[in-house]
Amino acid sequence: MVILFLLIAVLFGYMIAISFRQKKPFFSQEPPQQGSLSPQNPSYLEDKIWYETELDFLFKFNEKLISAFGLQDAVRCITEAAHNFLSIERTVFLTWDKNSEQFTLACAMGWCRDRSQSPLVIGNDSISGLVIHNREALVVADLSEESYLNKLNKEEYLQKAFISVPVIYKNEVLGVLHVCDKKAPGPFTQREASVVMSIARVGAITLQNVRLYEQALKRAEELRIAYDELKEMQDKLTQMEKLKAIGQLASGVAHDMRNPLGIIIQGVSYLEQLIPSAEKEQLETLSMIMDSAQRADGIVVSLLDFSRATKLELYPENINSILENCLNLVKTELKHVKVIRQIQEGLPKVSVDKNKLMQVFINLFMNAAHAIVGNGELTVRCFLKKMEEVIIVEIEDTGTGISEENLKRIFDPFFTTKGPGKGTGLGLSVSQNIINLHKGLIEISSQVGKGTKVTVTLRISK
Amino acid sequence: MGKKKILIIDDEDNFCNLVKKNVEKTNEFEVYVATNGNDGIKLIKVVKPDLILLDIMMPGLDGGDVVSLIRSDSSIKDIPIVFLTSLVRKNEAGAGFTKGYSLLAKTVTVGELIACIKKNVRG
Repeated sequence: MVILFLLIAVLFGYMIAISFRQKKPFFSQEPPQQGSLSPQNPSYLEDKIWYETELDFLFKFNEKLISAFGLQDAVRCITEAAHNFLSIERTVFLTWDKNSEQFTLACAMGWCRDRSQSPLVIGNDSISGLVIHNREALVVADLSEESYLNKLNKEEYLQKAFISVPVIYKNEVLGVLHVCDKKAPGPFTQREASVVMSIARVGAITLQNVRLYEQALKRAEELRIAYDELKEMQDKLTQMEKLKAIGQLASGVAHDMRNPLGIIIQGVSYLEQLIPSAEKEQLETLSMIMDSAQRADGIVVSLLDFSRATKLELYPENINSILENCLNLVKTELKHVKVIRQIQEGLPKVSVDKNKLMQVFINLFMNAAHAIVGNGELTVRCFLKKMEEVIIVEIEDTGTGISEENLKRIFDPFFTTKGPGKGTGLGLSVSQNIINLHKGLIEISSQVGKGTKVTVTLRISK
Repeated sequence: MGKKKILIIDDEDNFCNLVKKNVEKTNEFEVYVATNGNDGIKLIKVVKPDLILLDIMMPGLDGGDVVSLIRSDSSIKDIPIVFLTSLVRKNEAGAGFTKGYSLLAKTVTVGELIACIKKNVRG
């Protein structure tokens, strides 16, 4: 009885051993074999170990995938997971572009393309194409034996055994994951295929999320740019409305102010002729009245310039000679300043309104002259930027400079840092208007105590 | 040789009178004054000035109307005109209906005014 029992036990043990050894290789043509999780199943122990390992792996893979930063990182994480878990020779991830109907190499491990070759792009007449067409995994034991696959365009990483899995989220194909040749010889098992499929499924969800996130970011960026543009446009419109209103006011004020100013100037001139030259005090008084009237007229002229800076009379002009004319006109104001000219000769002519541009340069030279206390330098540069087809005029002084706070408001109408009666605050505003009308650019940079640089960019006439 | 005749047409009579005094002080010109466009046209026909100083913005006939009337009358159409206006910087070339004429700011100095008259006066 005991012997019989022992015999039965040995036979049972042998059968278990046989069943472990007889694990059949999995081929795509064979129906999938699933191990039962029943303790009564002979392969229960092996299955349990496998599932625990797989579960642990997928859990860790999932953790890693969640923390992937960006599409490329997620793709790398998926490829790496498949490659390392199964100990594979080559693992390749291709992304699918539905618009061009082409695959692009996104990540590869254990396989490297010659860098001199153009980027890898694969059409849908390939094994990858077949996989996404069928929307199911393809497991091949030996490619050379699959004649129907050999008719397709060759993908050099697919050599012998491989698992190709479509990466699909809902109905959208995102790519294909190729796991090619195990390091240990032999074909892929069903379990290995199902791990690759799990990787692809989990990966697809993450890829889709990353894609959506990146699209959302892109959209947010587009919205931000659109908002900024709209805001800028609105600011411009507000500024234009403001300028228009100031312009109307300015021309009205100019007209009403100049009639009495004209009378004062004519009257003082008349009296000056009547008063004998010996009456110095009276003549001095008249001279003061005349100076004040002229100063008031200067303010009116600024207002007029402001209201009239709306249209240009353009002719091809030589910017260097305009600059030289302006420097000549303000040489008295620049007596205390050393003027350095860095002028490029033979510049092409620029289509400008000479009088208005002179107004700008004179204004900038006068500002520099006022900013330089004691002795200082004024550097005037004029040069061509051939590539951009522009002429640059730089006017740089070693004056007191402008604070950051004031720099922000420097082009605002009526903003001035000069003392009462010394500036209308319209000079730079008018200058900016004039340069804008020329479709040019005026920029100011400054450092308190070091000086100010104004850069005027003008397009070359064609 | 007699003095050249200048006619100033401007609705600011104080301005006109002071201009008259200053210009006549040179002893080269005789200045006539009209303080509106209608009087100006009448006076042009009577005086036949050698130059007209003409304001642009006036009630009634403004500078533009006066120019049209002058240019449509062959007996006076060749009289030189200098516009006096508040709406120019100092001394500018005209545009629009003032095209071809000199434009002077009302705040010019007497010296500039006389120089402009001498430059433009007929004969």
